[in-house]
Amino acid sequence: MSFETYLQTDFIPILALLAILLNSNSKFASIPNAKRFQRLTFFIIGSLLADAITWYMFSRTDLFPLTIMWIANIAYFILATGTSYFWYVYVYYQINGENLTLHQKRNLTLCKIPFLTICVMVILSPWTHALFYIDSVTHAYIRGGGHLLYSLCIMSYIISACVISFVAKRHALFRTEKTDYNFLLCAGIIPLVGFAFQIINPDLLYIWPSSSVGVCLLYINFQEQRISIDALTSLNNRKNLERFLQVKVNKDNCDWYFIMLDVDDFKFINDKFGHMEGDRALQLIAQGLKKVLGNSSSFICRYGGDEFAIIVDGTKDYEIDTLIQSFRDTVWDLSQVYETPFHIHLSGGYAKFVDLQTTPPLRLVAMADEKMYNDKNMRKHKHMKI
Amino acid sequence: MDFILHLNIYMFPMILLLVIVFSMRKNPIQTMHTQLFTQLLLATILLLFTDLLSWISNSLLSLVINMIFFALTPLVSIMWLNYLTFCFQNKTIFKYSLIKKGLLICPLILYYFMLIVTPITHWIFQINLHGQYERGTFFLFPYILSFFYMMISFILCLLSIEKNGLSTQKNKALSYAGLTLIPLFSTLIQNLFLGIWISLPITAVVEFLLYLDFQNQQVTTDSLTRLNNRGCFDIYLRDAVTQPRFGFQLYLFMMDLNHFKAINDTYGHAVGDQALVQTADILRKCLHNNEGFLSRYGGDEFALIRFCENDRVAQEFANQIQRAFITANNELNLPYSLSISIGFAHLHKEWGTPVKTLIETADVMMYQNKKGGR
Repeated sequence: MSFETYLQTDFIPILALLAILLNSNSKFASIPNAKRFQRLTFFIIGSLLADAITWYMFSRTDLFPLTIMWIANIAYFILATGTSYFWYVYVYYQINGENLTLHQKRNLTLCKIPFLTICVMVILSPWTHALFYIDSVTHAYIRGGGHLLYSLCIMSYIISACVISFVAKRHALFRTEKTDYNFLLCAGIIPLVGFAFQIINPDLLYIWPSSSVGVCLLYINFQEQRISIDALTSLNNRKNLERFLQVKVNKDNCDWYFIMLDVDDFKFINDKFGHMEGDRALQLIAQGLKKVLGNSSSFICRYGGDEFAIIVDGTKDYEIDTLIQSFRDTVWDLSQVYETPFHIHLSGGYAKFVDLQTTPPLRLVAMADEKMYNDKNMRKHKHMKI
Repeated sequence: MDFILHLNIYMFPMILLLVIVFSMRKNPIQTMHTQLFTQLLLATILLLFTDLLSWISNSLLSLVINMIFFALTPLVSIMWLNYLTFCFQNKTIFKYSLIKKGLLICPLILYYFMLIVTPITHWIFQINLHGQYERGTFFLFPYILSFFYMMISFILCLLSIEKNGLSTQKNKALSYAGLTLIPLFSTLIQNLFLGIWISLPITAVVEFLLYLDFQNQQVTTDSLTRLNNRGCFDIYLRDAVTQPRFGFQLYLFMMDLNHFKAINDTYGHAVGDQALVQTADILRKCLHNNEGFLSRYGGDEFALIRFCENDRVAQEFANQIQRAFITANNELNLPYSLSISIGFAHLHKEWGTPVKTLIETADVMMYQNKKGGR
């Protein structure tokens, strides 16, 4: 295989990855996992470059001294293993969130061991010839006995990333989470398929291009998440609600309800205690809603400033009434636990989906809205009487 | 050997584009914008695929595959033009006047006629006895046609820079103009240096860039009003304070829709949303010929960043906005009346005003304005 092929095969993915790196710069500030993603991108770009450079050296063996060839190959091995390690770390955090438990942190530290072992083995290779060596006379690259270990290490990181995404997908409660984990799973499977192809036919240089596609897929998913999730409460945002409704009204056969919740006198909390406390109140409500609906396949969304929309499966009106009451109770309990200086009262309204003709999405929202305002007015009058 | 080489080089762009298509189809809400883009991507994938297959020598297969390849070559370019036209003018090329449309479509029809008779006349290409491809007399025609469409796309972008008042749109037009040139150059390089096959893969990467930009827009715009959202505002302000302009000062205008809560409570959320959209439209019109960065700050709050000479000019601009609302109220004839309160503050260079203070000062002035106004 000529050097031109290697160069061109690596060159196009490098361009695409550089584009991601440029695009991600300055727009990432608020997302914690962004740094890890950027590190992954750096490593994979490095691997692609090192790959092209080492192949160039082997096509022009007369040009380069032995030391430089050793260094380039060592760099390649470290970058390649690093790519798979950071891939795993990124996926791990993407699934488990930023606040890891002590146990999870220990697991992640243990996962570093194979990566470090390979690094040590590679650096010692000029003396031990463990992973590879370069013949001092012919300048030929020859695999060492430990090469299999290196391949295994890379594969096991990517496979583990796939496994944890698959497990997370099985345990996911909400539909949007499921699609996210699906993305992570696909992103891992693509390099594995590329790997398999290259093993079957060594002429197909698929490992790095397919890994690059995987990273691009991770980035697309990362962006999609930012598009569809509200940054403050990490609930779905309104755009995602529209998408979800579109699917729900066309496909789902079971009965379901659209619920609208609104915080009473939110403006008062904001004005009296400042915007920070207002934000905290919203986060607290989001936490409460998630807690109540934790075991069902429902959809929770921040609809607007202080409004929340929920879609739940159910058949009877009184079930929904109880549900709204339990929202109120849970949020009340949480505000007691966190000792907030304000009280949070929720007003709620709901509408049942009948069919697309009688209750199109917009009508559904309007109906729930109306009911919510009735609820709110009723409670206000009650307050006045007291 | 050439087939394996192409198999290696084309795998990445093909899978990448396929992945993008899948992630776009996942979204149940398909707009004209996404449809046009998906079509462009699919055409490019097919072009890559046929180019790849054309390296297998087999006379009958080669003929069919080369026919498809040459049919797609100018088609991808015209789809590109179509997509950019939609991005900047919000219409497809089929909505152009008859003359423009004729100028664009006629060469394509002529070309397709030539392509159809090519198996007999060998005008564009021919397949020799060994099943290999050979150039025909007019082999340059499809490339010239593609070049023509790409140049028109480029000119379209340049014209949009002139026309657009909003700085974000201007930047977009500029970057799209640059992106259009990249496939042109890569085609040139491919033709100059033998053995380099980067034209189509680079086109695919540029389409990936277009997709990233499409995603960025969704990240940075507020879905209801189509203005920039809060996150985008924060980044813009952070950058803007570090880039002073000579003779100008950075002014921040905070605007709040009056009686929004009342509109919402009386008429419901749907009408409340409509009021916000109308407000955004009026503000956008005010800015049409001026530079400035407009965004939705929160529920019913809007923020505008603009460079003005002094307080008097800024006040004049605020008055201009207020007048626009009075005019709009008369025109729209709504059950409620739209009005806003405006407060503004400017960056004191010598004091090094922090961004937070800037927002707070503008906010306080807005509330005073609101009390006075009501």
